[in-house]
Amino acid sequence: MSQPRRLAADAAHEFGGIALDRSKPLSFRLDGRRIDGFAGDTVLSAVLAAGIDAYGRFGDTVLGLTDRLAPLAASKRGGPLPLDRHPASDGLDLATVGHRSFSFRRGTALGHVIDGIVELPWLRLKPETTLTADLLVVGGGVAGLAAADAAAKAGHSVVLVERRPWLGGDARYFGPVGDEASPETVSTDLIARLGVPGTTVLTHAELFALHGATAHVHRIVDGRGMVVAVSADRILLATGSVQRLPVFAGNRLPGVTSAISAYHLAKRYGVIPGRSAIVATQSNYGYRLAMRLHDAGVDIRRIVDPRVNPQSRFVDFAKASGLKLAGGQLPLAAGPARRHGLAASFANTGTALSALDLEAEALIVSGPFQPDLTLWMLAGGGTHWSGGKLLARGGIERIALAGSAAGYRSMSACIASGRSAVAELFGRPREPVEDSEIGAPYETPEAETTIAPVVAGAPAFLDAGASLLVRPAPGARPMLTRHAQAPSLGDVAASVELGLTLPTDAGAVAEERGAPGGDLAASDWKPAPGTLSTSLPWLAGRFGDDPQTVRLVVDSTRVFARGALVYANTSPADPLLATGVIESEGAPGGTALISRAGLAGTDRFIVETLDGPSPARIAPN
Amino acid sequence: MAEFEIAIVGTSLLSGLLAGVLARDHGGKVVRIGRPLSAQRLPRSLNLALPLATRPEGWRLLRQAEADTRTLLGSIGVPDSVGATEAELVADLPDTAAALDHLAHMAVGFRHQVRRIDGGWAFRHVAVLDADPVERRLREWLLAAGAASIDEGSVDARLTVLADDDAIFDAVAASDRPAVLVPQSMTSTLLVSRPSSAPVRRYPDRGVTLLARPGNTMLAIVGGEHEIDARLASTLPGPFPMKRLATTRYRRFSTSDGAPLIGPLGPHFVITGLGDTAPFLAPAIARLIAGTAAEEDKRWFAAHDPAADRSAIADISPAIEAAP
Repeated sequence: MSQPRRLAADAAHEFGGIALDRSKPLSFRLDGRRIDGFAGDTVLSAVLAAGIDAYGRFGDTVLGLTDRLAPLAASKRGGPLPLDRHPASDGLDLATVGHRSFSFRRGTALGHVIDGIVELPWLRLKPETTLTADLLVVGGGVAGLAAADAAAKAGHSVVLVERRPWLGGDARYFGPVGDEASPETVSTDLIARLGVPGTTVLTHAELFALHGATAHVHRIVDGRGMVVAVSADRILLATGSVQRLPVFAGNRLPGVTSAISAYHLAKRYGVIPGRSAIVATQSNYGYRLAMRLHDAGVDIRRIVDPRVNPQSRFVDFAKASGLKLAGGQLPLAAGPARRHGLAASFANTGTALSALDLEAEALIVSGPFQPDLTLWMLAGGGTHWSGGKLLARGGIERIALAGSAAGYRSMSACIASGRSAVAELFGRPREPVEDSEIGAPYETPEAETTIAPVVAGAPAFLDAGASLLVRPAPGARPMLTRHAQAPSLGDVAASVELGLTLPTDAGAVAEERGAPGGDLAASDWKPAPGTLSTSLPWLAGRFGDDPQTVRLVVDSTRVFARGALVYANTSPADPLLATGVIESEGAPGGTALISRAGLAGTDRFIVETLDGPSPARIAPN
Repeated sequence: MAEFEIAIVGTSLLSGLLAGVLARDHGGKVVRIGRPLSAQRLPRSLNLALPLATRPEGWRLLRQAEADTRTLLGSIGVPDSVGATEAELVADLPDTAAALDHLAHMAVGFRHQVRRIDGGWAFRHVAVLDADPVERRLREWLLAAGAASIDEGSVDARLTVLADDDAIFDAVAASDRPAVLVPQSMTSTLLVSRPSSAPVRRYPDRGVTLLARPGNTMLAIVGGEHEIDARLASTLPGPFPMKRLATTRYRRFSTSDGAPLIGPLGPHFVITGLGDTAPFLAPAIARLIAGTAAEEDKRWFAAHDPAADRSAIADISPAIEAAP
């Protein structure tokens, strides 16, 4: 199969793929289809390079295949693995996990029918091995790398785990601020420093459980998944941030991709989401990506920005490159184009009418970044809504946050925060962290919201992950407690911006779902057995101060059930007028507790049973 | 500082309804102080018109209040917010089994349909109030009813009503609380579970209440701090291991005698111990506060006053594990 979405090896800005060895082509099979790629590809990058960008049907819509939503795939020799962490290798024969439709399995689609997300099969596996260290660093971005380096220099043993196949995180996407060194230089230097005794680096390794001082990590080694336990006295979470999905109709259709994903796919693997693209961005970094893709040969049809006349060096460069810009507009809806690709409409901010209609193979969308506090909450940490984001709240003993997960933005601040957090974890004074940014006159801040007006069309999802939460129809009930998948932080953030969640509740909503507790095991618990009390509090004073226990009989074999109300035979069946209650069943009749006043008036009673009233009388002694 | 006759403090649905009814029907200058919880927060009660109680006076009050509340919700424009459900009560201990037997017959006396099930009783057509549509209309309705509404802050008011447990925790020091009021740790959990035998299932002796939710999920509300998982799992139909989707922990008050506590307490007027029935009693409590309650209602409230002799109102009170 060809690779229509692969750029040339010498594409500008290294968009030929720095992870690839083009001298080593490979091919493998996925669901019976041949996929070509190169050494260094992941299964996902090779599949996307082949032009397969649709995961499958979800209700009435089709969902795109992305690094945040893709099926697991299993080979005959191993269990299911995630496509984005699974290195491609020659001769692999994989089958995706899930329900596939035979009528929808060709061309650019994997053909799944998505009726639920498969639970990760390694969640309950026992660890095959245990690593022990003074410090576990989660996240291999610049903050995590700097933290690992600082700890190693101080003589501590370190295990660093990184979910993705590479180290350095997202710093390359943002680039340097001011006179900072380039992220490539900084990352390369930090990575080189990790090669010291006592430091272990695990890539393709995702932490999925924290039990006190022990973390469980799912790692892929030689094409096989395994669970590794890491026991560490201290844990540093440098888990980065996640780009949110702008909320508009059709925001998860095939061809719609986030800017950060588009960047990494091009940079690492030379893969683009389409030969033509529209870039919808609310920050200046989207312009930088658009320019680079343009230089690499992608036809950038327009850069659309909700901000009016944004100021940035990247905006100036984009203009100078001849790219067409549209300010004051945001995506309104996307849908399939008449012939090929996507048709997207854009509205002027504050309106719900389409002001601009464009077509392209891809729509690259750039939303705000949300600190990834998933593991922080799993460890028991709190969150609160501040400045349009969920930020960490409170502290956890022996666990610290660093980098963009801790809310820092510039690369130098992320690095300093990694070192500072290590110092604090080991009881040394914290280093100061200065988060410098270029001021507003030169760089317009990102737009605060990326919520489009409600229009007819495909569903508008709140985020790009597996929760699949959809913007409710106006006036309809919000869904965050009704879905079997926990919402992401992006879902919660979007819910706040949509007015579905109060900002004051956002942190609590995130925490309730971010730390739900472990699986519940079966139990046959029962309270310690007891015996019936002689004095029941709920009967105290009920039938006077001195009720009497009497035996009631009936002229039949009828048995009076315990709890039935007893009335004088002249009384209406109003519970407020009951004169007694059956305490125990007899054969026939029963034993009743009856008020003194009731007994004084008559020896004939009516017992209201579930089958209707029954006459009764006091048994003769 | 703004001056009001009555300040209703609380985030619960009861507090909102109470403020609105007092302003609309009784002409009081009323403010509701409290920020309602977002609908996405895990529920902490079921808003069910089925008390864990055997005293006929309370049942009479609730049945009347249920009818009043339906009328009230119709006037707010959300008549469909009250639906009907089936609820099951299951006993483990002999005392609780005897109490439930009596409760079931009491319910029949007040025109409920019941049937015996293994270990307890099922109650059909129990009124259940969906708080979400009411909450979404509440602020607008309060405004129309003439009640002020603020999320937080201080006001001058002749009477301050603490209308939910959080308000009482905040405003009444532990040393000023009556001994009958017991703080209890609570957990609400959303689980992936097979459906239970009824939409609502309650196990008083295990401290667990279950509510079936859409999408094969179950909301569980568990009282106490010990053996939470074991007690909860013992009530669930599986499959195990069972995935938890969300969890929240909080505190509430229970009364050691199982009866509600309503009335003046120091400088405040407190409302607690009503359990799932609380929102249904808003019209009745509003009449009490406004001084227009019927005589038999007044008698019931007087018996549940914090200063009253409570020996003749004790009701079903499963063992309560007090929070530290």
